[in-house]
Amino acid sequence: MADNDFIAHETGATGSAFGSDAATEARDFCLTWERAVKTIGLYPPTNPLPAEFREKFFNTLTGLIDILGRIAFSVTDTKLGFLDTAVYDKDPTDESLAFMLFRDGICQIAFEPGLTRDESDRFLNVMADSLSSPNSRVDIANRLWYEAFDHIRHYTLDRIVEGTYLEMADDTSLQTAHLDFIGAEDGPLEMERVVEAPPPYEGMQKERMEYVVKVFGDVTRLSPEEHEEIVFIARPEPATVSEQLGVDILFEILRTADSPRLIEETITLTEKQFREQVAANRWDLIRFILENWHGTVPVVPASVQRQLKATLVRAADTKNFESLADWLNDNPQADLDDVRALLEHFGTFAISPITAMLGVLNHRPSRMMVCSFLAEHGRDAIDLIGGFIYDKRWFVVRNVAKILGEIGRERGLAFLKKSAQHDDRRVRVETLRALGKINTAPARLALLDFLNDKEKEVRMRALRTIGNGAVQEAHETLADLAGSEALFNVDPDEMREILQAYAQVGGDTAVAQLEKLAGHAPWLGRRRWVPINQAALRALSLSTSQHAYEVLGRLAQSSDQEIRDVARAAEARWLKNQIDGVPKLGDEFDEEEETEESGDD
Amino acid sequence: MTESTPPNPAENPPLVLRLLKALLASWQAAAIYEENNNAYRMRRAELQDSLRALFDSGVDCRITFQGGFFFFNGTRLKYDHAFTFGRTMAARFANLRLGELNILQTAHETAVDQALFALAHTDSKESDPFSALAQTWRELDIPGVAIGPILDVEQDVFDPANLTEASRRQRAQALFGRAESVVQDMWKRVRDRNSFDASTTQRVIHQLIDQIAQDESTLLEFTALKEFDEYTYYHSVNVAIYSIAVGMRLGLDRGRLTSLGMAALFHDIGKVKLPHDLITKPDEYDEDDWVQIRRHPALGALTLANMRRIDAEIAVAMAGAFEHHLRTDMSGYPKLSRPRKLHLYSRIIALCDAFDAMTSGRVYQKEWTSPDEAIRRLVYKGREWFDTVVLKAFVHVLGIFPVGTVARLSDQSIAVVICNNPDDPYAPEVTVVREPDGASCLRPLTLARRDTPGSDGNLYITAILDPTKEGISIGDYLASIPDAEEVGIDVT
Repeated sequence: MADNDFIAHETGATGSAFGSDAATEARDFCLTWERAVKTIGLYPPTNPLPAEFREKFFNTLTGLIDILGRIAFSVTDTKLGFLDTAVYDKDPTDESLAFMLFRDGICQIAFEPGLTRDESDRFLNVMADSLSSPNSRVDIANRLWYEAFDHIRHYTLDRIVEGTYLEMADDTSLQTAHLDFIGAEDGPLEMERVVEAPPPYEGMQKERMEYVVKVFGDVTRLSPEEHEEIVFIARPEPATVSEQLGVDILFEILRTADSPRLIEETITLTEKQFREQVAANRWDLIRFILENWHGTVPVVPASVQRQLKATLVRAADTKNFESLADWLNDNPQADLDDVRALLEHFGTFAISPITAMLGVLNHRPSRMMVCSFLAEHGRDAIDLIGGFIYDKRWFVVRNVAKILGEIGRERGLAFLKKSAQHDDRRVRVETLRALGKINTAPARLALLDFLNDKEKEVRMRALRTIGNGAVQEAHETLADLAGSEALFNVDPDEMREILQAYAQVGGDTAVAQLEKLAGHAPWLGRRRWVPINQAALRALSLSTSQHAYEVLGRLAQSSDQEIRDVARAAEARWLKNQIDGVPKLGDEFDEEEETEESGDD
Repeated sequence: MTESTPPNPAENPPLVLRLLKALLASWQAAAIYEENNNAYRMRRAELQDSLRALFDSGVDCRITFQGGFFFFNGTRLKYDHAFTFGRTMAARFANLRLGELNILQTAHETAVDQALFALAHTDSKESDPFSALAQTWRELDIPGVAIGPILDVEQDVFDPANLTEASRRQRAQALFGRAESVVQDMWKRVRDRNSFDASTTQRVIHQLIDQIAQDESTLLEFTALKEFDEYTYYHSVNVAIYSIAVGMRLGLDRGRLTSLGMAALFHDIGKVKLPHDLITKPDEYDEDDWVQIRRHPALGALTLANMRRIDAEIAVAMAGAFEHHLRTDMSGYPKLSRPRKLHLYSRIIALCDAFDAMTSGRVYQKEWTSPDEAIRRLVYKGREWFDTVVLKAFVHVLGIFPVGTVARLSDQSIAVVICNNPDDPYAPEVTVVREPDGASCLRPLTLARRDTPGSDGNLYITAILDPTKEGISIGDYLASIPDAEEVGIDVT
């Protein structure tokens, strides 16, 4: 039931029949009420505690109503009164039930028989919302009105006081209303006319009048189409649709403005709205504003275009992207496709602040989205992105290296050479991957430096990249390594990578050398040679040379059991590779490194 | 249009609070000192300065204390950090059971002194302190300063079940006036500070919705009265009332009715940005004037967008402001870059605005149209300019002979339409104000359709009359609380 702004009598028990027991019950109820409101405000809806208090509030209240009938509490700034007794007394703070109601002008609140659980819950929601946002534009009296309770009534005082005020305000009283001005300048109006005949006023012919009468005759009836429209009209409009309409109106005004002042005022206002929507994290509307800025540029005069472009530049302020990053951190379920579309609307002015987001985004999917976005849209902004290679945070540098690799332009090389020297292994690994993707001669040469990296894992990754990319510039280095006595001292895993890379890079030259390594089975030092034999055989399976197949075929006939078995397996793999393609090694290496926490991509 | 607006605490906090503080200090001083004591005179001078500053703006000073709240000229004061002395003041009012202190502009300084000493020296321990105070007041005969008791808020004064016809009208009248003052205040705030009191505005819309839901016809009577000086404000209220009534027929829920009502109240807010002289210009507008006038929809939308972040509520209000002079065939103004589908609220407001403007003879239209003729014109242009569903709902609200129409009946008597009959728009309720022989009267009557079978003997409308030509002031019969005996006419 709505706020009717009048004060009703107590229609339920008057108290005398129940005396202090009722007041005690009411006092206990108020405590439950207060706790319920606080608990709902404090805990998420999934927590059992709010549900427990909701239940208790409803049960206590309906229990009271069952006994006493209508329950009405009078409200002052510090007290809730029931049956002439103060049953709740608290200092006037925002947490006080009495003050919450009192400060917005409510002087009485009543609960009536028939109260439902749904009403009880909605009532508590209103109170809890009011507690959490005491300065909201919609005060508690208005919130209660919106709920349209059937069994909860609230009364405000405004009606009584303002009503008496009006009686005294002679200057605005309706009693002074008059129509004396009618016809004062133009002489008396010819007003009298007969209803049945068409009136002789201007432009209204008899036929038209008949038409009007016909429509009037139909005034209480709607056509089937109009019936449908009524149903459509009554549907609530999504808030976003309304909000977009507001933004659209701003830009319509901008497109049609006929004075420089109006244009400037409107542009300023669009910027103000942009800032306010950022503050409210309304990224959907921000995207809509950006779309409109871009869409308006072509249809306005050059001078306005300049202003709009300047606006777009200002929109790319770093703080806006910091807000976006904070929001993404708080909303890991956000639709990243939408966010990516938003970033696209910022344009190239925003490349630098968007790159900076990599330093503050907590969740990997968000970071990957930004990387992907920059890889696609940063081709002409490599210097801006590359500048972040000097960032102190290793994960930023790593992601920048990744982006430069995805862009794949040689201009990124200068920055990657810097990251190649980075202390963090993960950065160097990402750098060599990036170099592999750039895959120009200078990039390939830069890759060779990683073969001397201090960490085995980096060297192995470099070998894989070289192998996968068939980096010819590494041929000589790999041949030296494969033919070197030092090979015997290399870790077996790394040795295997060296020979595999050599097989992929070295062609027939490598096959010949690998054949020697694979088939060599001296009596003396046999155990020392077994790992080399096996690594070379596996490496041969990765060669694309037909000659490798012939070599494996021969070695499959070897008298040495171990060589023969491994060679047969390698021969089978070689054939399979010819059908499926030589596998790119090292993909599994990436997956194991991608983690969610702390920017460790 | 008059510019005077009752100052209120939200509008001018320093002045109002300064005045209240000075009042309290003077009251306390009067309890301790003689009238010629310097301490009293100093506080009294401060009070007088405050009052003068208030009166210079052309209004009285009315302080009301009810239910523990203070109201200044009808606006409730919040007990915030600036009004910490409010509790002390509340105790003084409560002790005397004083509910109202009204210092008029005509009050002489001596009268204010008398009032202060009467307040300070009335014994609050009396069983009925207010009666004692009132007795003193009568004895002293204090001119220009009025007092009133605290109303008993438990009294069921506005229970609909207890409402008489007179109190029902009084209630609607109070609400209508309240809405007008809220609009006036809103315009002033928007002009001065680019903001408005959302809660107060919402609350008045809620009251209008409740009132229309309970008793639409009485409120519609008020829309038939046109107050020229305050036209802009009354016009906004009228459009809001019509719009809400139409929205109800279209099945809008409370939330949407509220936002529709807000949009209607704000639809002309762009005029705040136009020169005041232009709005009140008595002459015909020239082309330059029209260029400016045609900007008010855009200015309205910009003004609203400038108040706060665009949310759904502001957005639809912007639509109402921007689109209310556009027609569905895209005629009207402002000029558009491309056709657009007008928002539902805009379509409703456009129709209500057009009707009220036509029937108000507003400043820049210079033409007054009778309510029934306005309806006919709207219907005639309906399919080109307006949404036909909205139009039908609108006609359903107002009828074919809207409230305020003066008509000749089939027996040659003259009547004022006071209420539409939604079941038969040709047969409204009227008050017969002149008998066939020309004698004045005040006789309620429900008409019949002329072609209603079996209605022989029932009266029906035969002609529409110009009220001024007939010497009839419809304000005497509408939206007032008629007291036949006072006006000296026979009641049939």
